[in-house]
Formats: sequence, C-alpha cells, structure tokens
Amino acid sequence: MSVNTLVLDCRNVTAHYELGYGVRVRAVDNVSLSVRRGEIVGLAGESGCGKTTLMRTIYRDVTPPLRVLSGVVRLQATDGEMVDLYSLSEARLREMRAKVISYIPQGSMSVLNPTSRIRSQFIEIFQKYGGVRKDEALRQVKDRLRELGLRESILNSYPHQLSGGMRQRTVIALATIMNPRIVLADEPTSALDVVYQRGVVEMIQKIREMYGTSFILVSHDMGLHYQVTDRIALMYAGKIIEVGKTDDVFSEPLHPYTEGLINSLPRIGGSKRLEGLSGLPPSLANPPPGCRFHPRCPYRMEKCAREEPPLLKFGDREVACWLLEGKK
Amino acid sequence: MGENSILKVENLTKVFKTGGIFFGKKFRAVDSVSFTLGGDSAKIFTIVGESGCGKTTLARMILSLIEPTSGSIEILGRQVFELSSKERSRWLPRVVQPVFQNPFESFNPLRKVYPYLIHTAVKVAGVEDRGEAVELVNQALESVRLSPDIADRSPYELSGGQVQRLSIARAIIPRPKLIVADEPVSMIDASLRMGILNIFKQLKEELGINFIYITHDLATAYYISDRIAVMYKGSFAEVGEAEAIFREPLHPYTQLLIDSIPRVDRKWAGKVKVAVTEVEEYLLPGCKFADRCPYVMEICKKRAPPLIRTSGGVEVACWLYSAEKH
Repeated sequence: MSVNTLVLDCRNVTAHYELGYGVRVRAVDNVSLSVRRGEIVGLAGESGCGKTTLMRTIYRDVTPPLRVLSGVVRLQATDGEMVDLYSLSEARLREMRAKVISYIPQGSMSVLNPTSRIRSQFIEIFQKYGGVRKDEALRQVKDRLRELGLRESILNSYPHQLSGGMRQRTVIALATIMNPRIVLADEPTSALDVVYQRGVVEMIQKIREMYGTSFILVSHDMGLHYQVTDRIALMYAGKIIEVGKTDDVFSEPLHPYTEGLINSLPRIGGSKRLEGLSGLPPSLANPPPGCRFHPRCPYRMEKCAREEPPLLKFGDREVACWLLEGKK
Repeated sequence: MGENSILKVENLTKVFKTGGIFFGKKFRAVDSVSFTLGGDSAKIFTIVGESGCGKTTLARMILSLIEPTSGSIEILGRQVFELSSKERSRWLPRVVQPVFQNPFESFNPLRKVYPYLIHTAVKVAGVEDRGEAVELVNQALESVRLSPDIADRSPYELSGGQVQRLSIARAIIPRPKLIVADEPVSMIDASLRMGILNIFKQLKEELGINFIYITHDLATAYYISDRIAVMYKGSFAEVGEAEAIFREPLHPYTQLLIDSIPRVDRKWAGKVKVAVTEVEEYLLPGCKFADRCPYVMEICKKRAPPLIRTSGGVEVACWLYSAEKH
C-alpha cells in the first residue's frame, strides 16, 4: 500500500441546518477535503464556523434539522476499495463505524458511560464488533493499553475517577481499539491543560505510528495544529478557505484570514503589539455575498463582494481568494 | 511600597471539605498565598496555572465573594475583613471590580445593556447627576472602543467579544484601582482575543488601573503581564517579572509548563511525564510537585519548600534553590 493511498475523500459536500420559516444555516458549503493513510489533518477555525458539522457529515451522523444537500463522502473500506458512505445500508454503516471510521465527539465525559467501569466499556465494543470471547477481549484490551503506555488499573475505574487527561486518553484508546483507518477527533484537548494536552497528543502520534491510523484533528487552537498536524485546512463561515502543508501555511499564509489569524497569535519572546482581526465572523444563516470574509478583509476588492472565489490550486496548496487569481 | 500599596495578600488560605460529614477530607484549595501589588505605576499581575490549581478561588477571595479560612487581604491600606458591611457594599466596589469568564452571565439577558451601565454609574460609582452619569458611561464605552448604540441592544444580539468589552466598560465606570479578570478571553475567538487584551494594557497605561489577570494560557500571559505568579496545587511555585520567568523558568513545574505550550514558532522536543490523578497530590505532605518532578530529592517528599528569593529577583518554591538541602 503506498503512502499516498486515500483513506477519506470528501467532495463538494454541502450540509445545511433547515430550521423552518425559510431559515437555513449554511454550516458546510461546498467543502472538499481528503485524508491520506497515516496522515494527521488539522481542521482549524473559530467557534461556529462549521467544523463539527463537517465532522458529523463525514461520519454520516446526520439528523434533522441537519441535511446533506449535495456532495460525496468516500471511505476506504478495504485496501483498494473506496465506498460511498451515503449509499451504504444501516447495517453496513454500523460495521464501518467501528472498523473503518471512528468519531470522538467533543467532551470525553459524554462519551463514556458514567455508571460502568472502563473495563466493561472496552469489552462491550469488542463483543459487538470483534466477535471474540470475553477473556480473549480482555487480553487484547490489556495488550493495547500496554502498547499505548496506559496503566492496566484504569480498567477498574469509573470514568469520574480518572483525571481529565487520563479520561481523554482512555476515550482515544477506546475509539481506536478496532484499528479504524481514520479517526475524527473533535477538540480532543480543548478542556485540558497544556501538560495533559501534550500527553494526549503524544498518544495520537503513537497510534498513527504504530497502526498507520489517519486522523482529522479539529481544534480552534492554532498552536496545537502547528505542533501536531501534517496538513491543515482552515474553515471560515462554512467554507474551507485554505489547505496546505502545516509548516508552509504557518510560514507563508496565503489567504488574508489565515494571515490575520496567524499574525494575531501571541509569541513567547516576541514584543510586537498584536492586533486582532477587525469585525466579526458572519452569521451562517445570512452570510455575506461573494467571499464570506470580504467585510473583514484588509485587501478586499470590488469583485470580492460580488463573486465567490473558488478553491484554487497552487502546487500542494489550495486557497480561495481572488487576490491569487492568475498567480502560480 | 507603603503608600502606594494597592493590594496586600498575606498567608491567604482556603480549606474546602470534600466528601461526607463523618469521613470527609479537607482540601487546601489555596494554601498560604502572599503577594503585594502596587508601586509607582499600574501593573498587570498574572496568576497562571492549570484548572483546579486554586487560581479562581484566590480571585474570588480578593473580590470578597468568598471568605478565606485564614489570612488577610489589605486593599489600599485597609483590611477587607474588618470593613463594616456598609463599607463593603459601598467603598469596595468603587475600588475593586471583577471581569468574569463568561460575559453573557454578567448581564441580564432580558435587559438592554445601556440602562444597566447608567445604573452602575449611579449606584456603584455614586454619580448623582444624570448628565454626568451619561458622560461617564460614554467615556467607559469609548475606552473599550464600542459605540453607545451597541450598548443600546440586548446582550443576545451581540457577540461574545462585544459583550466582554461591555463587561469591561461596566467594570471601569466606578474608576476602580484594581480589576480582577478571571479567564476573560478564554471564551473569545482567537481573532478577537488580542483586541480585548490590548484594552487591558491601554486601561493600565491611560487610567492607571491595576489588573490581576487569571489564566491558564501562558502565551497571552506573556503578552500582557508585568509580573507572573505560577500557581500549582494551591500555592505559588514561582513569582517574578514575566520576562525573567519566561526567559529562564526556575521551578521544574514552570519548566514543564513552558515546555508544553503549543507554540507556533518552535516544535516540541522529547516526551512529557503526566501525573496520574489530581486529588492525591493535594494530600502529599511535602512539595506537591514531588511526584512528577524529575529532580526530586528526599526533603521534597517531607517538607513543603518556602518561597526562596534568587539573585535574579524571582521567588521560587523549590528546594533545589535552597542552601538548606538536606
């Protein structure tokens, strides 16, 4: 299997919340994103820009008022076989959700069952999808915990007895126990302090190295993206506006929003006065015409208010901005 | 410091009881914290630490929202816990004001903001003339760069960043000497955070307001602080000039913390050792960081280290820097 094998290919996906009375929240609008094997892709953007909705769409966790209007989400079910997630039967989808794609929603406490021990939560998953006996399941769980550097004693704990960092690492171990090809991790460290955050991140990197698992890491924390991700996609008001190799994007942001965001990050040792971006993120129920960033953009042109810029390709970078039209 | 002392905190301690009536454990959320704030010019003093380190409890004691178990707080030379109840409700709010984490909880969601600000000017700042109150409110709004028509809306019509600016405007109406801001930007989007922090700097310089900035975010702490205290499990691990602490952190915990920041200009190196559980450490007799410390010595497990002043002017609570090691 080559390194460049696609694990997830999401093309032109549009998903809106249809709230009735003609109110439509355009949370995900014509978004394309692909993830290769063993890759950690970051999804960055401010709160309310559609990051979580995009994850739910990729996981086919779509319940009204959310509705997918167009687009294709393809997943690598087995080596060399891409399947369209939205054409699968419910039974096949359930199977895919443990073995191929795993989703860790925000807030680890809400993932674990507070009334049962960690041990039974691991075994339950094994019995449901692994088809092995209980003692065999327990042996495999213990092996896995050892590989990931977690103590066996956590199995006897209830979720509330673990510290936040340990609980989050347990959730990740649980989500990856069936060796999925891709894990969607939504703000896995946002409630944690920096030291624990680093522990969680090290575990994600270890899982990627050991099992070749791909990750989409959703976070509003740009520092985390810089530390962990291979590629980064920036979302603004329901659109992906820039995608590229993380180091390239940080050293030379091309979209004015990315540039503003990166320049507003405080740096230790720096003494420069920092200015935030002016203005506010738009409402997704009533986004501005043309480029959705144009009311806040310091370089806006007449065209920006009229026409929406497509995601243009420059080598391995993609940027949706009229400033770059015709440049190579 | 004497005359210019704004705030003097001495041996401040807060003990919470956890568990049941008979088998409950005592838990020192804040343990003998002392520091002073004041001097010739206004300062931003930052208390940085992980969640659960006691920083919010400390802030709430300074704001007189909870009573300490022991210790004293002196504001402008007056003992806060010796004030009469009338002085506590009249004088104290004119001197110390809070800014909280969630700005939407600071305002009544059903009421427009402007009348509330006028009310603050009349009731808290004690302005009697209506015109003067309007003037004071408009000045406060200008200081936080909001136009008065924004304040004429209800909080739910505004963004988090705007409401937080309004709560800062509200806090400066009585012209306090000290603002205690508890995680004021942690709920604000990254692109708008710096705008709010710049307001703190500007209020410090233009109106001479001192700040206690409580945060878990070291990068913003570096950006706005004059002095920093690193808090760990209820006590100060290290206190000093922000520049000195970030340049050369002395306490092993400060070193771990600064090494773990997800910086945007340098990648992490090496691995990190993470603590097992949280509450257990509060019950250790010696240094509370001993379990995680790579330089741990025998004495660390037995006796808690005092704050030791180093030649660089930084104070550090660590036996490594003490002459009396064994």
